[in-house]
Amino acid sequence: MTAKRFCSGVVAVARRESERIVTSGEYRAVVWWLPLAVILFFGIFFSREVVGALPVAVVDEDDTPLSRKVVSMIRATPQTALVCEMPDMATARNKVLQGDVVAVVEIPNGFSKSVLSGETANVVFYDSGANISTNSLAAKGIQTAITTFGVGVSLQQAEMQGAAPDTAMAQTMPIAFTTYGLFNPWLNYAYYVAPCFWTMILIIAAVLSTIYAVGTELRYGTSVEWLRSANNSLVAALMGKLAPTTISLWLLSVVIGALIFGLFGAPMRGSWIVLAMGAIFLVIAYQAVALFVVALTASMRLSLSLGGGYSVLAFTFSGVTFPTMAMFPMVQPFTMLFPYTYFMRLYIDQAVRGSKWWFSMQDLAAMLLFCLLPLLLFGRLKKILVRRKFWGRL
Amino acid sequence: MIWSIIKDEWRRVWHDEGVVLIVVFALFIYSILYSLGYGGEVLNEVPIAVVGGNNGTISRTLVQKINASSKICVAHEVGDIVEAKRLLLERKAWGIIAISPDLDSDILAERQSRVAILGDASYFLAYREVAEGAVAAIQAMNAEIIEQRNGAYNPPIIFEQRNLFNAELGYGVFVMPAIILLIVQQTALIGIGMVSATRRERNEKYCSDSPVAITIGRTLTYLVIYALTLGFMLTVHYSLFDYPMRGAWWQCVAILAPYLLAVILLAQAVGALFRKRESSVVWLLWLSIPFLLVSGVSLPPQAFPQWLYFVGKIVPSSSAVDAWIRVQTMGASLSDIAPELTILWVLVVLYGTMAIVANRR
Repeated sequence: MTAKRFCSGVVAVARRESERIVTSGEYRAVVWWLPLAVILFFGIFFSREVVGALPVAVVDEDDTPLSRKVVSMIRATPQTALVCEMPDMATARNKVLQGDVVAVVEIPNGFSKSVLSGETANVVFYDSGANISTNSLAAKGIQTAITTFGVGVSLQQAEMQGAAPDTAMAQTMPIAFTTYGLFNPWLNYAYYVAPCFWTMILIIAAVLSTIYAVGTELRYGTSVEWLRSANNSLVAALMGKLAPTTISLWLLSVVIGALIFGLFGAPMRGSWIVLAMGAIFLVIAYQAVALFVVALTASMRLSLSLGGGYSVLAFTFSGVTFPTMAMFPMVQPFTMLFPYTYFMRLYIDQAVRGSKWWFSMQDLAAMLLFCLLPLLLFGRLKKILVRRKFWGRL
Repeated sequence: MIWSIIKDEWRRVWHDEGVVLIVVFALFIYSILYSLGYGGEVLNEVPIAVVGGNNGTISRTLVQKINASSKICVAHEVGDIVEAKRLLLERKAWGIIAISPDLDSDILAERQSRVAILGDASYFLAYREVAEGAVAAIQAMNAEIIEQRNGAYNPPIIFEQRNLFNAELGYGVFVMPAIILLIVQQTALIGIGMVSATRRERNEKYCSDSPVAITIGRTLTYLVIYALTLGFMLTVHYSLFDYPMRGAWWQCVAILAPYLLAVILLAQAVGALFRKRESSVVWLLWLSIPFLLVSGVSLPPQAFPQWLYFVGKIVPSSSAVDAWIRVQTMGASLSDIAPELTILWVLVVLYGTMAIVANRR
């Protein structure tokens, strides 16, 4: 086959595919409207810039001027400004069970007496233990408030005993410490987690649209017509078929990028070129996996179930929320089976950490390997497309 | 009449490998895969790099204390911060603890010394472990220094963190009960949608003219299927992975009965929109993450727009997951979850009406 014939085949199929997209409502929905709608949903979901105050109950069993001071310190913490006071622990406990408060702080009876007589008093923070993210958020603010208050009391006591302010500090806290969050000093959860979800939408769109594109040809027995418009070259047929969706999906990634870096104002510290290449490689890698699944099963419906499941699982096995090093050793290698894992590493390296471009070459190469996957089943794919017995199956 | 509808629907499910895969097996497959993915439960011994310090006794003791923490371990001791940052970028360390080189002399002279904790905030869970582990180690060190100087350590106030219900805070224990209920909802919506669309595509009639009878028959069929599969999950899978099960069986039923009813009825209502067999996967697969998010489980409702949380209540999983976690993890009683149960029963009535309309043809 001449190069000219090949190219004309690609163009003809791409034109045919574009027409199929434009004329089918469902096809349009898979490539455009559904991903856009879910992307918009995440945009709204993460639009709240600061986490609102978590409701916390305070049980002040001591009820002295000193304990009241602690209560007002807790009230002043931004994470837990919504404080309701409860008469006793039993009432507070019920409030947690009813879901009205996420934690309880208990200032024990005799608190002020212990503190003033130079002994130690405990302030107890009870979390519900049911929600990791809420618990740690609430605990963090209150711990800071109580600890600061305790240090303040110590300082006062030391100064009352005649110590100079400097010495008093050194006495109460011999080693002072400061905590910094590298790469994301605002500890902004949306900067970190919204891109993970948006990327999920991109890969679900890539998998579903590719299976839809090829699967409908099989289901409605039009695959021979498709091959014929590619001058019977399977490579030309595939290139022409996937080109319109690849371009659409890449544009979708540009929309996502505009939301992350434009609207949300997340930092971009590395190479735009590497990040853009990463997005294209990610899209093509998932299209390749989708083609592989179609070739393997020769059934549109089964491909949708398997491919859909595979794309949704990527999030859990990427290590972005639950780190890879915490997984069972036996499970850790499975994280390598999802192109999403490599892309999120690339995204974190380039956008969040500002690593050098060569840090991401390994991840780009890994995604490229997935693109080669359909070659393994190339012969089978051709057979499926031309044999009538594979058609119309569901 | 209802009996023949049940028989018909039952046959349609089991004679269709596509539907069996989604309605029956997907719950097992996904639950096992997700449970394995989150199976490590807690992050331990996160490798960090220590910079500075010296070979003095106090410096060494501090490094030992940091290393002794179950949350972090000192994987590298390096000369300068540039080297430590390189380890961080190469993902060989997840935090840096920079100790003042004058630590020993400062402490001996009773001057305040400084330590900086730099956590890698591009991975939140790791960041939290590094910060908590390092702070605890330094506080323990401070207590030891003060005790040596004064013979006693009596800080006026100690912040103590306890757990109200002895619930464990493993990641899988936290997230899997919610995910299992969401998988039930997702597979029912897609699977029942596929059955509805297949019937429409093949232009097959129900063996009854009464939409109410059709709805009851179809609902009972899926109720039996999900009662069996979910029952298996709650006994075998739950004990295998040790997920919290504080509620009595009748409390579980009180939540799951309206939940399954609402989901199955919603699935019949939504199923009426699909003309082609494959459409339910194509249209509904996208919803799994949004459904998880609006339930307020992975992020607290205070972290996203409030109206979205309330609108999210039209999805059965939102109320069911909330009630389920409170009963199973904390041991709440049915009166504690009365508002959620009320919403679920309202949804049963709402989606029941819609399902009857949808099953009219």
